[in-house]
Amino acid sequence: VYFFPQVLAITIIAVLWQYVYNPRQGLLNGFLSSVGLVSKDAPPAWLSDPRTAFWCVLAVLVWANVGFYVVLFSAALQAVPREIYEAAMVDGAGQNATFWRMTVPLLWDTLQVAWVYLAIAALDGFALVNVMTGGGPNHETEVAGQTIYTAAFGDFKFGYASAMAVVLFLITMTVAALAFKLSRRDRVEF
Amino acid sequence: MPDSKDRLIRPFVHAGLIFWALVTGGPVVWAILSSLKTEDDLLSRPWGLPSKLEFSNWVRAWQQAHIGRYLLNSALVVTASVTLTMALGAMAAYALARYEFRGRRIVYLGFVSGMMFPVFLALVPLFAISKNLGLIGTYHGLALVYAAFGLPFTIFFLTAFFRSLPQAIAEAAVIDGCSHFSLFTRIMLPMAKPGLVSVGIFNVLGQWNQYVLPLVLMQGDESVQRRWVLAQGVRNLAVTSGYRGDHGALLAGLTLSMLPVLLVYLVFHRKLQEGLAAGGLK
Repeated sequence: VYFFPQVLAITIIAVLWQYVYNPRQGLLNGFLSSVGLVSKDAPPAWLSDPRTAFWCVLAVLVWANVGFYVVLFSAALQAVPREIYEAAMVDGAGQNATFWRMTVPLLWDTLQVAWVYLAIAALDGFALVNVMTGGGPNHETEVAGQTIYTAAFGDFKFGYASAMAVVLFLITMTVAALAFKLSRRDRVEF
Repeated sequence: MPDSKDRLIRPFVHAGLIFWALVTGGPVVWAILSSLKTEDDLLSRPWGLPSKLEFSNWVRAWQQAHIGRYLLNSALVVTASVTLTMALGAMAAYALARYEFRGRRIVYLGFVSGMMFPVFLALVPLFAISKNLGLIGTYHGLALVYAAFGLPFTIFFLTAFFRSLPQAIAEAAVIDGCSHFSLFTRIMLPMAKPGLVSVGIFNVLGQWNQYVLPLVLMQGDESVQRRWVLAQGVRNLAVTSGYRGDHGALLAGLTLSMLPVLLVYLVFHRKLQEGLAAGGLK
């Protein structure tokens, strides 16, 4: 189930959640009002309220991406031989210790890849923002991609848009390089 | 004792997993159920089950919002572009992995550096080039661009894969009088099948999910709008049904566009997950 959002087109996810956040008919307010947390007469408008819009879009971004990393990490975990865990159990390691002192170091390579991916993905998010809010309300959810797109195909300032794209590219590369560098550790062989 | 603490944590871990499964599946199931509701039901009881099944939403989504046509367009473009990506990618990767020639490294790096190249950097020049070539708003124009963006990763992945295949079999085939071409098609390609499947899945999903490329490359009047892909169709449906207050059609359209993917996912989910995870781990 976790993985399913990954195969849905991002536009479908965006429209689906737009409807979930719909103040009058949405799933979210429907649920919240049925347990009495919000009133039916003045339902919160999640996506058009500047205070909540950003966090609502962020939540969808998380929702859409968790599955991929669940699968990525479990694939990596399957490559770890069982004996190592058995040895740790025999030695009396608890689950906490097993997780922090064995699983994390063993998966470090994968974590590093995921971290770099995420750093790059965090700078994108265009499709979701474009469909859900168009960058609004009042630029509250605007991402770099949205600015570039509007500059190029809304205002037809092609040169300006290209310049911003180059800057975005440089920032992305820097962030990716930093993410890679900061997460560097000795490789654990198994 | 670590043991007793573990037993305390365990229910919370399970509850967390179940909670996330509900959060993931919930909205999807809810949208499908709601697509069968009447407009009254949608307004008055967003959280409840449909009081009677209303299939007219689906009819409207199919006929007025043309979801069927957009699905077909998407399928057409993705089929063409993935075929092209895989054919070109496999041939290029094979040559790069198996033959020594001058400038091989440069060519390889040239391809692979494309992975670093973000869509946004290319957006404006891409639009200009497509426009000058008369490719704006055409199926083949879009498919070509998809293939171009799909190639770097495909070549990177398949080169590594072809390199890992045993050399001895290829040598035996050559001794038996196998030509270069049939060595590729009859021996190497079948051996590379797992890799091809993985990267193929990766490409299908990636290109099916494209949003900004069609948005930029498929803009135009009515005749171009007939060739819109699903992403644009769904977005348009969201806008128009918002104006008209026709939420039933919106949800039905969403359901219709999710169903094919949902079916494919239910049949192939293991393969899909393996493919994507392998792609991510390389």
